[in-house]
Amino acid sequence: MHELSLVMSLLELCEDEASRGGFERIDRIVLEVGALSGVSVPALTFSFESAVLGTVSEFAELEIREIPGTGWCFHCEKTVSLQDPLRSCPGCGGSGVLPTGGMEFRLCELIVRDDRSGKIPEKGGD
Amino acid sequence: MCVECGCGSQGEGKMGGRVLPHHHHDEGDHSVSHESHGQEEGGGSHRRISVEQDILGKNNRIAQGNRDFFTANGLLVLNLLSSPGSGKTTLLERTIGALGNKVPLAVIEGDQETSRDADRIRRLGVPAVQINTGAGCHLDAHQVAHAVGELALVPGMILVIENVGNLVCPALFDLGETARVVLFSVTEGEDKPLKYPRIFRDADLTLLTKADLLPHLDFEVERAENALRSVNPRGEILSLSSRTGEGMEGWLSWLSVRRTGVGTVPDLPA
Repeated sequence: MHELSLVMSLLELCEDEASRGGFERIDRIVLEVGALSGVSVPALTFSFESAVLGTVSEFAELEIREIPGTGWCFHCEKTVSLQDPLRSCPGCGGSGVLPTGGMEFRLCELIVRDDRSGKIPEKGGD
Repeated sequence: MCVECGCGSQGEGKMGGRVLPHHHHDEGDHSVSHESHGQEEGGGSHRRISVEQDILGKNNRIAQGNRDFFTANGLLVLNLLSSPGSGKTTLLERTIGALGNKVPLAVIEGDQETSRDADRIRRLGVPAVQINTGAGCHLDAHQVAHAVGELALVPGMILVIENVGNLVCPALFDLGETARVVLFSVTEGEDKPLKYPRIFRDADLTLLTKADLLPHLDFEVERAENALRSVNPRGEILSLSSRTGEGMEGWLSWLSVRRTGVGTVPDLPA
């Protein structure tokens, strides 16, 4: 469950952006998660839901853009698709594949608002 | 004082009487945020902020600070990784015994709870700091930066960071180490590298440990090596037994070569 500490790092980045940008609420957090990043999306979502309470991200929707894994096969001499870091080439079956894409784990953008009004009611409001 | 967590650390590492900067403060390459504004039906003023930052960026920045510190001071720093019970601490004990007083060594121990491992190392006269991660499943660069501040380090020292026994999470967290050493005990099954590829992929050295048990097991070394090669064609592989001492010379020689490569430090005495 390293995803919980990844989420804590993410929430910290969001708080930093909030104090820098002077906004009070995040509506959406857009992430890129590569297939070879070692990050489990279900575990990430679960950890996020557990950890956001009381933060500027509390009402944020998590949008995850999954990036497919790719690698360079030295035998086929081309870029191939990699589902996992086991590195077998789907073409020749060889293991001489160097991962080239899908290692991303990035915060891309935030949709934020300057006040707490909007569709989602304030906490404690009836 | 560490500005990051306010923990009261002096925020400095000591090295041969000199005071060195603490490298883990949040500084450097924060990207400039780009914003665009808009109104939406829900009311309130909406903005889109482009952040484009690695979520592990903070850990990686601190790790790079650690690495610069280690390199500048001629330290060989190893991140020792494995599943629980594969013999990390026993290997350290035997290594300390073999190096004797010839090479200065220090250890950072990571475990969820207890100081049992650090106590084992200190009993041998080697300085050790225990990090208890509590609920955490890995060490991160920030914890290591603090632990380094507690050790009296000298140039040419080997610093071993024994990570939390776990084949999954520690793989993602750079600590600033010079090299990653993964232990793979022969009681674990030859296909371990295929099941946990991430950690084996980045190993500079994989040590097949408990080799003295091979005659009693169905473990085939060649199959294990093939599995390792398929996830990590570049890393070195050595096998040894901490219990009998078999293969220890290969490991000590690897340490000697890596230590020499770090900077202007003398070779290990023969």
